[in-house]
Amino acid sequence: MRAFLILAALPATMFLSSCAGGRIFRPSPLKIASSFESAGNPDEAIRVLKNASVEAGIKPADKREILMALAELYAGQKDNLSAIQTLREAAQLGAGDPFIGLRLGELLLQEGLTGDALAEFVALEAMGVRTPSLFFGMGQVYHRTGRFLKASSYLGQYLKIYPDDKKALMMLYESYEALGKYPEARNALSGCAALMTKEDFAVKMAMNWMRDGNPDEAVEELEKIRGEYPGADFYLGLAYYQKGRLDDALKIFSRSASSPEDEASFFSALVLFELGRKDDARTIFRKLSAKGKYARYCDIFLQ
Amino acid sequence: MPRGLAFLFLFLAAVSHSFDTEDHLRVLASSRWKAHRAKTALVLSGGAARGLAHVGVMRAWQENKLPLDLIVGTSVGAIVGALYASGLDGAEIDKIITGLNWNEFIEFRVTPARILNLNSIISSEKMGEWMFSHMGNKKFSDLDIPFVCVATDIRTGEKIVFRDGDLIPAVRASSCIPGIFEPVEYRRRILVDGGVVDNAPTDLAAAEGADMIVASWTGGSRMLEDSRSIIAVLTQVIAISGTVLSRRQLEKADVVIEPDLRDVSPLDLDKFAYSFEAGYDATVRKAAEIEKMFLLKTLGKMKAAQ
Repeated sequence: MRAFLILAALPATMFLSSCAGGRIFRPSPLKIASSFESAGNPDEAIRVLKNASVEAGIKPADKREILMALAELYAGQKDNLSAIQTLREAAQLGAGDPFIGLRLGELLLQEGLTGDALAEFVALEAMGVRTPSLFFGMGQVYHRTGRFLKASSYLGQYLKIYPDDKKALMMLYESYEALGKYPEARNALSGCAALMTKEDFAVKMAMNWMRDGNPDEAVEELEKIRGEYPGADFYLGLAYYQKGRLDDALKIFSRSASSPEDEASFFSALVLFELGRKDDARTIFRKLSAKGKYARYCDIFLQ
Repeated sequence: MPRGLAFLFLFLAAVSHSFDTEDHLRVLASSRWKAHRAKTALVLSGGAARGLAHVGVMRAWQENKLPLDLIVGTSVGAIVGALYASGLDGAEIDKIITGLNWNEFIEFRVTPARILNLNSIISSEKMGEWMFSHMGNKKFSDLDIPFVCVATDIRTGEKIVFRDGDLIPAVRASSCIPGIFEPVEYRRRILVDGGVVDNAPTDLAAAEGADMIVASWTGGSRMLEDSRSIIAVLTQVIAISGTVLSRRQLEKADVVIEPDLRDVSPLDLDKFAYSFEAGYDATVRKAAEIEKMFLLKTLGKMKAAQ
């Protein structure tokens, strides 16, 4: 009886399968591509999805799904431009899918196409999308293009939802610092300390205090790491200079691990000039003047 | 630790830093050398609707924390400058101008009497009310940032400089495009737009003691498409003469910010968003140059004081 049923079912299945364009009992291209991808063969997965996307009679919704998966495969292979092109094609198959827009914006941003990324995000915002990814994307674009007021506003909204996102906190710190909102910048910097070395953190915090007109706090911050990181000595010298302790500044500049750009020498020459040791200062300015970066500043003291 | 390794460590520690000399000099300029800071003036030109690009300039100026000790304005530059000097920030001015309904603001009254008397085409009465709603009854001495503006005495052709007294009549006079807005009677003079005699008053900034002058230039003209419109012809005439007059004045500026307004006419009030972006971008592009110039001038003053 069982054998009879199987024999009867077979032609029926073949008939239905041919009516449905051969889809029945054929694994979906997404599943095939997924198994190729899992097996470490993304090229084959791409080939499968590409072929499937141009198959005759494919429904727009299915095609869009395939194209989105294909875009992710391209992105996984660092071929963002193909991923962008594929997503754009997917977007045309059904307007208003916020996921496509967000992913497009993200990839455009990765490729440095900030104008196009912004256009995607702005369109999503106009559609009423208010997701954390959108806030983060907008924050990133504005941060990268130097529009720090807008960047801080979007990043702030994002961080209300994900307060521990250190990358966002870092961008928020840089935005606040650029806007001159120093206390807010300090808060953000403290939140992303784990992203940087102890020295980097101390130097950033010290510079923040100095920009905020508080060299005492900067000195305190730098004294904590002084023995461990001689590279931070320059900043300690700068803080002493800002405080008006010129002799201490000079001492620290002279022993600081001087940078290849002679930053410490340049500032020690400025201190010498202020101390009235103008000939000593001019000797340094003269030497540095030959080096492009400082020439304009040094020449003022050599005229 | 072997000496070679210690040296390598020190070397790597040193090169791992990228020093930002300008940032370090800026710290000293804003604190230790405060008394020697270069006094920086921003001169905002005329240009009617093109001059709204100054709103973007102010926004970028603020966001880039560029130094500002004096604003000099003429015409629309006087309006934007006065708003900023009175304490409104770039974002607030942007919001005010974006929300402005120009049709309500400009009241057309082409009555027979007005035409016969040839007073003006557009009444500017509401301009004063609008200014009052945003700046209040302020005097020049009440402003957060020192501000000076220029108008023209239509009877004598004199350049009239306002640096004290009531703010709003001075700004109204400075921005009163002749023939389009009614002249303003103030201090026993009949005053029109300052751009008639000086569309980029850089010399005024120098006279006020500025060490460094940055001009935001939104004047200039573009190809006149419609020569049948009386307003278009009048504004084009003013734009052309203003450009010729301003060439020498702009040479006196240390830095000139020139937004790309080739597609904006002096009448394109509806292109504010575009003009804003043009002003913003042009300022961001010049920010580093302005910063460096400021530091150079400050160092020069510091040297002179020693």
